[in-house]
Amino acid sequence: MRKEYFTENISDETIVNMIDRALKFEKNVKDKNIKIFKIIPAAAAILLVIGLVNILPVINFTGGEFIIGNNAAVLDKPVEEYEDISYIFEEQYGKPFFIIWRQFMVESFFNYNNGEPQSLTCDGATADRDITEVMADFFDRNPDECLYTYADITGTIDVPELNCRLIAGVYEHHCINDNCANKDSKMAVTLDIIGDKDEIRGVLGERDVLDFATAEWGRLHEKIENETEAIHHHIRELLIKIEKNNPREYAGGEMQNPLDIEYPFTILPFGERIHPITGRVRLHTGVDISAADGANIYAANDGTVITAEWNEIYGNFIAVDHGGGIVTLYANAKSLEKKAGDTVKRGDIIATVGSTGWSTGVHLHFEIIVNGTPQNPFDGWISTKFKIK
Amino acid sequence: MDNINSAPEVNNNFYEKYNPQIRAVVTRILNGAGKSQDIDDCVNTVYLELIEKLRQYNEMRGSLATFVAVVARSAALDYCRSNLRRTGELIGDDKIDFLTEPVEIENNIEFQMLVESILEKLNERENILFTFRYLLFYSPEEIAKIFKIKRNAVDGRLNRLRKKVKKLLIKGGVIL
Repeated sequence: MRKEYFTENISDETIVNMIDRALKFEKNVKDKNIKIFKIIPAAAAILLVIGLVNILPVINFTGGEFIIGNNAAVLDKPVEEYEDISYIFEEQYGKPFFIIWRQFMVESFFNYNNGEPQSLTCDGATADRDITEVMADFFDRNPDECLYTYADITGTIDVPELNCRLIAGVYEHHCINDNCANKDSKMAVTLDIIGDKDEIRGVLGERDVLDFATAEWGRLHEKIENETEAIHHHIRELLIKIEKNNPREYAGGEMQNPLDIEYPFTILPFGERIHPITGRVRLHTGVDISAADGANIYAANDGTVITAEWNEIYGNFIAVDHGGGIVTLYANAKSLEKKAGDTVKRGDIIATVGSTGWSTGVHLHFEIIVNGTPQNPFDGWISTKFKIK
Repeated sequence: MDNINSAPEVNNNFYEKYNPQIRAVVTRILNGAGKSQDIDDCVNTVYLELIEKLRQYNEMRGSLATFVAVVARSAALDYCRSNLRRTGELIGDDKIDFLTEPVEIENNIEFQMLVESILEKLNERENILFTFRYLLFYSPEEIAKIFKIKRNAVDGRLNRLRKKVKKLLIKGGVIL
């Protein structure tokens, strides 16, 4: 065995070539004052999106249909041509296209238990500055760095006795530098505590902090399930009352889209999903549709409002009885425009879109409940296709 | 001076054009290890080398600036080894590791082939970064100015570059 320096074992020819390349690069920079590694965020993000589209599995919604052409067509277009699409979305949703797309990608794959990123929050995101601004700002200042965000999938839990908040999440890596060495890094499921960790450790001890968080997160999950079941039970009870006093046939006809959007954008479909942290199966009892903050929510069909109330999980929600045991429910609303007992017509404004309750973004959570059991709204109830030109 | 029809000469024009580069190369490599006298001595040595070697300059192999940089680098490294200290300490505040310290190998020729193959696996950006830092000893601050990124970003890139090279060295059988 002998000792050798790495650089001293590079051939003279290679050294000359490498130095020549580097000095030319330096000269170019000095001569042209090129801004190296500064990428226009939107364009880079569109490229990132294209990259994501390329690697993510085929989209398959339960009962819905997503049409974007085929992947090859998407990838073959020059970046500039996507501005038409992004313009439509940005106008409708008031957010940069790549962010809408990302939120869509994140939420829509929650069904598939493949550990894909689910983040809708990140460091720096607050009530005044949401994730879209944080990401855009970050990459504008640091085009070459990586941004790690983590999922806040179903909410956080405050633990008053420890003066802390627990967040469980899957770390997601973002980078617009196409040479990023970390781009293939796996996401990690992690539990985090916001609070004085020293204080918490003082109470629990170092090792027990994550165990505690895991147990609390399990409790949180149960709470969601219980609350969801409670709401459906509540609606069933109301229906039983109505049926007893004034039974009606179903209003009939196809239900209309509850949102006034030409290209509705489902961010989470109906169906069972396996929670990436707890591993428990949970039914998503409706569909989550992305919409602009404050957008009108319309009654899907003629009916009577049976409840308009607040729930910790569902936020502001309103339920409309259409007769025949069929109820539509509109949750996470910003405001409710009708009250229990009001008669509504198909297309009446009944609420506005928001992010109340345990919501991770501005959207409408829409349910169709038949005899107390949630159904897939896109399975024969609402004919809604998501089209992108 | 860069006349395609005749070999360049070390004359006043040459001095004016290339002296700043020669001094910069030497200063980086000596990196505060020597006194200003050492830098002057080393620069003089470079000129002596250039007088001898400029006859061999072939512009097909690279620009004259490259030739001058290579000669200056070589002379400065020799000066360091002979008069000052080990090459490995040239990288000031950077991590001292397998790129700056000698590694144990079994076979010289195989190691050389491995090194060349590793360099081929670096992309354009990594190649240029490697050259600036480990061949020309630019400081991270200088590199940050060239790339127009923050110093921290340079550190990050260097870390990732080292990780990549380390992985390839280990894969090639070098025990680190």
